[in-house]
Amino acid sequence: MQFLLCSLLAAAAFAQTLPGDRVIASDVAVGSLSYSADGVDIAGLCLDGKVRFWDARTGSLKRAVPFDKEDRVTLHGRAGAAAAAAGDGSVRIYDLKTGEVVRRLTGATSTVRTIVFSPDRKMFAGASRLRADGSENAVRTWDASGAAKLSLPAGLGGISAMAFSPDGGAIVAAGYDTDIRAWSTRNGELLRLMDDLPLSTFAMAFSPDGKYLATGGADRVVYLWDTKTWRIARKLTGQPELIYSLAFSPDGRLLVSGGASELTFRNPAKALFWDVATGKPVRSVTTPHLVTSAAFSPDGTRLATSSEQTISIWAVPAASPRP
Amino acid sequence: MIRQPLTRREVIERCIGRGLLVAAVPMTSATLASLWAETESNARKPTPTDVLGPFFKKGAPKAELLRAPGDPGFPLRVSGKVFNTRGEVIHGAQIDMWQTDHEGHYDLQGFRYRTRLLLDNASEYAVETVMPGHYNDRPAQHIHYMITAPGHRPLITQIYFATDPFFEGDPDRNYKKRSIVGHRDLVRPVMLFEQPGAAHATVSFDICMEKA
Repeated sequence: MQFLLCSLLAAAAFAQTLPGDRVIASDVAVGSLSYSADGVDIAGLCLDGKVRFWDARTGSLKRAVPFDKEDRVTLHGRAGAAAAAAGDGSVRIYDLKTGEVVRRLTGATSTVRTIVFSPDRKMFAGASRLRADGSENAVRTWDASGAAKLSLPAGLGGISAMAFSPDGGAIVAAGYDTDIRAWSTRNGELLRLMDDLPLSTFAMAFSPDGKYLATGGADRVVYLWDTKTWRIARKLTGQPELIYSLAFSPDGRLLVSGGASELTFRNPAKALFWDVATGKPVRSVTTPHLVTSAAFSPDGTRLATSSEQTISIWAVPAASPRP
Repeated sequence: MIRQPLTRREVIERCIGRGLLVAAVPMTSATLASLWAETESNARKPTPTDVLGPFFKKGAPKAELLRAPGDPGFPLRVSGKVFNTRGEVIHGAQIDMWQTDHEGHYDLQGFRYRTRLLLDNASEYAVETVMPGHYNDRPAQHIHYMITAPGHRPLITQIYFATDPFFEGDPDRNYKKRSIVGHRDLVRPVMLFEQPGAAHATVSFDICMEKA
């Protein structure tokens, strides 16, 4: 009887839809997603350069903040800020509530392509080209005032994913040459060259407590790295596609991996909710195309995924109780 | 006063006269000038670069025969030499090459159609493969290269094929289509050979690396 009940519960968890699941249709393809700090809005960075805000409950479009189409825009978690690396070589940080520029980054910003924010928004890091052809790259960092700090050689062929640790003490960048590097943000010391993986990493996320770095990419495996040693602690296998997005739940008990078909990003793909304690998926959902981005609501009850013009809101399954 | 530029021979003669140029082996200024001219004519432009792409795989085994018996696809031989910008062969170059199979699939589990070659002092390479396939997100056939050599800048590039329907028979005109191809020189002419029962294609691609 107990077995039957468990099986039924497992089947229900894997059902394609659960109460609370819904879809927001966007006129334009949506890239990275973020919930506002109060969980009321979902912000999406759209292909036309605009950051659009939808009501997370009703799905209605509330407002859009325009950027120049040539700008490379990054959305900060909790949808409070955006960085734009502009075609004219400047990098500006915007407050998305007011639409105003709150910081301008100094130094060699003309070669910067992608910006990431430290969680407290007191540091910025950018993937920067050392050569015009993009063959050799560096990670550059800036402090809260926008002053340039470190320039860290970061391998060949471009940076594929980058993140600050939750306490801002480390910056990690993965390259298309398959190497991942972790540096101290204090002095630029290379904490470890993680050259363990044969294929490229496309997504990374730190657990909220900073104990794990999750990475995923072309080999479909989620790697959990112990951030004390920067060595692989565990591997989660089962994603059917390339791994293109990763997100930890706010309590750190669930990790979501989003897929992308290696044949074409237009193919449907799955997002898996992994129970971090057991290493098993507890829910699997399908999106119309690749899972470009995944973001948990601040209360951890909802997950938003973007897949071209579709934003899906999923009910978050329960994780194992804390030990 | 307009100054006429000096000829090579005049430069050499002046340098010899001032003791600035001392040859290890006695040579006339005419011989030196012709050697100079020869060096200049051998000078090469660095190979244009292209993106690394998301499917590089580290640790490919050395293999010159990438095509297995019975593999579908048009047999293709790609060969060339690795030079520096002065036209001299480079010693100790290593080339990673990777491509899709005939159907446009990269092998992410193993190392099919992937190789890492360590070149000898002649700095020549040749692989027997098949014409790569097309795939939706990158619809021009291509082979990736990553080349490293002591004392030289790493070079990341790709080759494309002038026969590819993507170029609609006119690569000069169409190579910029959809911003896929990095440089016109990377679209290579394809020679077709017909042997009894086995047609095959050959492509030549010499590589020129800059000093570090």
